[in-house]
Amino acid sequence: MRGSSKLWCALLAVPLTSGAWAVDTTAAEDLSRLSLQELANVQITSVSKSPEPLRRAPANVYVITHDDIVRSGATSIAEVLRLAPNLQVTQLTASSYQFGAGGFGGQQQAQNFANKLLILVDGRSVYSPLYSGVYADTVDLMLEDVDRIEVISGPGGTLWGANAMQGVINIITRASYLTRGTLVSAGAGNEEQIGSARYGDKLGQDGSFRVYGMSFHRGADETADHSSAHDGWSKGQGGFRADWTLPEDEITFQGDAYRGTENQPGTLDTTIVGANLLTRWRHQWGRADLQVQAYYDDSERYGPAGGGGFLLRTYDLEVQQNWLIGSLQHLVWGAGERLNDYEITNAQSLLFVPASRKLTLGDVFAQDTVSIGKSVQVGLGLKFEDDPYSGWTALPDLRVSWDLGAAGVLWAAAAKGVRSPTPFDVDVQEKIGPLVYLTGNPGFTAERVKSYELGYRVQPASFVSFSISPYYNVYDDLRTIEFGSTADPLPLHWGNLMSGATYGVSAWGNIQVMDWWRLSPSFSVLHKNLRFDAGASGILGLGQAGDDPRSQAGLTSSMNISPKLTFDASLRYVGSLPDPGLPAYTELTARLGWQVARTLELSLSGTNLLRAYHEEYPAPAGAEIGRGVMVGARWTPQ
Amino acid sequence: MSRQVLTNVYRLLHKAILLGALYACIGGGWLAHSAEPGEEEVEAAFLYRFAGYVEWPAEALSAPLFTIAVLGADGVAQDLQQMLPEHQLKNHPAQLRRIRRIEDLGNAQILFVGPQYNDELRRIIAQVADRPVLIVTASDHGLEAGSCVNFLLIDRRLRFEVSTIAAEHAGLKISAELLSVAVRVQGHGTGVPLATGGLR
Repeated sequence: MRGSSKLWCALLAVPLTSGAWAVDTTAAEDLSRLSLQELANVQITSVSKSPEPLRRAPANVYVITHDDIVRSGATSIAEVLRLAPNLQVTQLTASSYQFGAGGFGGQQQAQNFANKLLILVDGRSVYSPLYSGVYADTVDLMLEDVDRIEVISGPGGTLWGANAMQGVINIITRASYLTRGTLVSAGAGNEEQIGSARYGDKLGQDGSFRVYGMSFHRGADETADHSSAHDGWSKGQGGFRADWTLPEDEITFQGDAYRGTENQPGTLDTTIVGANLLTRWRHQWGRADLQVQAYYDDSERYGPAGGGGFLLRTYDLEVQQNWLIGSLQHLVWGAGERLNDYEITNAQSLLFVPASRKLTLGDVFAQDTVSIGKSVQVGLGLKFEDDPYSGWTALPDLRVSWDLGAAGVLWAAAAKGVRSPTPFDVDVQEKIGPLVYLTGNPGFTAERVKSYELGYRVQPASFVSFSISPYYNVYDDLRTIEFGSTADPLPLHWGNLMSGATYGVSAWGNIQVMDWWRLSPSFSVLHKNLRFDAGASGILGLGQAGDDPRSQAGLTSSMNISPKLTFDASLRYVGSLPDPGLPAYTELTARLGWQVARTLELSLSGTNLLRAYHEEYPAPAGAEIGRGVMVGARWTPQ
Repeated sequence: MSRQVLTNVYRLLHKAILLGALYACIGGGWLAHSAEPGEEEVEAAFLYRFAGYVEWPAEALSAPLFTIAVLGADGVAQDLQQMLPEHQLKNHPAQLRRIRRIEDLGNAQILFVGPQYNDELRRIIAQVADRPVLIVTASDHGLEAGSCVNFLLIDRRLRFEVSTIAAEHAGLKISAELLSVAVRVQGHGTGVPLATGGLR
């Protein structure tokens, strides 16, 4: 077959050389002959270079880009968040996830439901004020319309808002002038079926809008004996966004509404219902701008009869102003007020007393960033937050960055963060039959952290960049479970008798191996050194602060195999969980995308590909999560 | 030729046709991926093109050369370097100035701020404010920070938005043609008619 192999070589050589020829003809100088309109229509190789790091941001920020999102193979915001190396994402069941940053990712046995992160969707806070945690099943968006997700680990409360004790997840959707036209996307697989559609257009001379609808069903996971975990769920959601650009003003209106039904093991379904409406107005004059934002958010959750539920209405108003003073000082100040009005339908075993409240949360803040010389910037921020249970708290924040030019950027930060008391900490009563065994604590105080961070970012060559950020956090008043009294230990109540420190490091990089191939490795390690304060009961041990892996690592590969073919894969390693214990696991998500025509992309994607089932959290809170394979299509008629 | 050889040739041709079909399907094969330009090449082409659609005050064009300054963004600078020397902009020979600090801007007529400087855009733009410089950025908050033209990557196409307010502050006039291609325009008016000879 010697002859035929030569022929093969010849056959192969033709397209290879024609490819190389194509490169030359589209070199930069030829592009310069195109008109503006032609240039605006040139299709660009997606992910052809390392994403530029936010060079001087004095915080541990990871940005998940639009391209990362649509190429990842993930179909939910929760799964997309796995791409952020400074976040730990744990899937419990088909509909529930817990998120942690620098630890504190939740421990279900102690009813510690991962409650120290702030999640924002276009400036609207989506953590639940009832317990400070996030109902991941309420946070869904049409992923094609998400512009990016910024994940900031470390306290961010001074600038971002309440509950940013361990970090902030800032989800930003595209303005409607960037999403004109029709987009229809559908996927079907063994674990999930999903469909979504969006239409956008101009709205008069200065405006634009889009409307969207989406619906999905996610199938049940399994239990340890491989019977159904009966946790499948479905959700339908719709929404809109409209933007107007006027000479000195920008105005946005947006809203979403959803309804979902979730199977529950051993009982009837839970229903989730929600709607929100947000408006934002930004006025610019000279070198200052003023932004006013208001929103209304309705969130409801009803278990089966007797299982309890709640209706929560949130009204929020925020004002923020940016001033540029000279060319060396940037001042931001703002204030906000939020009303959480809730009514809880108490269950037999879980009660809130009182069952309804109107809680107000207010804040004022200012941050000034000053340039010193050409390479140093110092930012000093201070926020006063008035939370409904513990009153005014001061949250100072100091950040410094030092630009070393080609040698990189060094930054350091020291900040305070809090997780304020919630109805779950103060008003709760838990019962077994008639016996009350746990109550909230009216004297419960905020959980507090003083955080010290360092960071170094560098791009030693055009094809490689990396970031490394060690941190040291000192905690006080972490939540514990305490005895009633020595004579009468029951009911137990929440206390604030844990303190200590954690330290760790998170690092990631981007390597442009070839023009068409990017590799992004990452790792993080965490050490906890917590202790009970004098007088603490020690019930449930120190593990209740969070069942966190000591290490995580990831490797994401993005390939443009051809102009029409993309292949992305993301391998993740999550270290063992200590208490309750669970072995380490490694899993793989991958997606092959094929641009069949200018208007149609087909895809084949898989999640958790390495094993038929894996656990991310021990039973009974965690289910056996199955391998998912899905075929998808995305149609964008012009 | 023996029957065996003919059969082999037929099989090979058959395979070649299949391979060719597959090759066409996946869009030209492993190495032809670069047939599509990258974001930076298109940014460079736009930067070069913009000059033709903007009017500078006469004193801003008094220097012998027309200068496009690029802060950071080495890839964009490389691509511009390839296209500029052969061309004239506003009847001046064009040149590229690569800078690392905004203080080195000099008398450039166009400034492109590379995205790695996005978190200090406001400060950088403040230092150029009120000078006749067309500031071009590639940031989600470019216009908010005060730039005139801001690139946006939308569905694998490079588009841009324009602030005629920022242009007015800089004493620049933007042509209606440029505004018509922008995904959105912030500011007054519909642009000035294209000046004669503007394209070269």
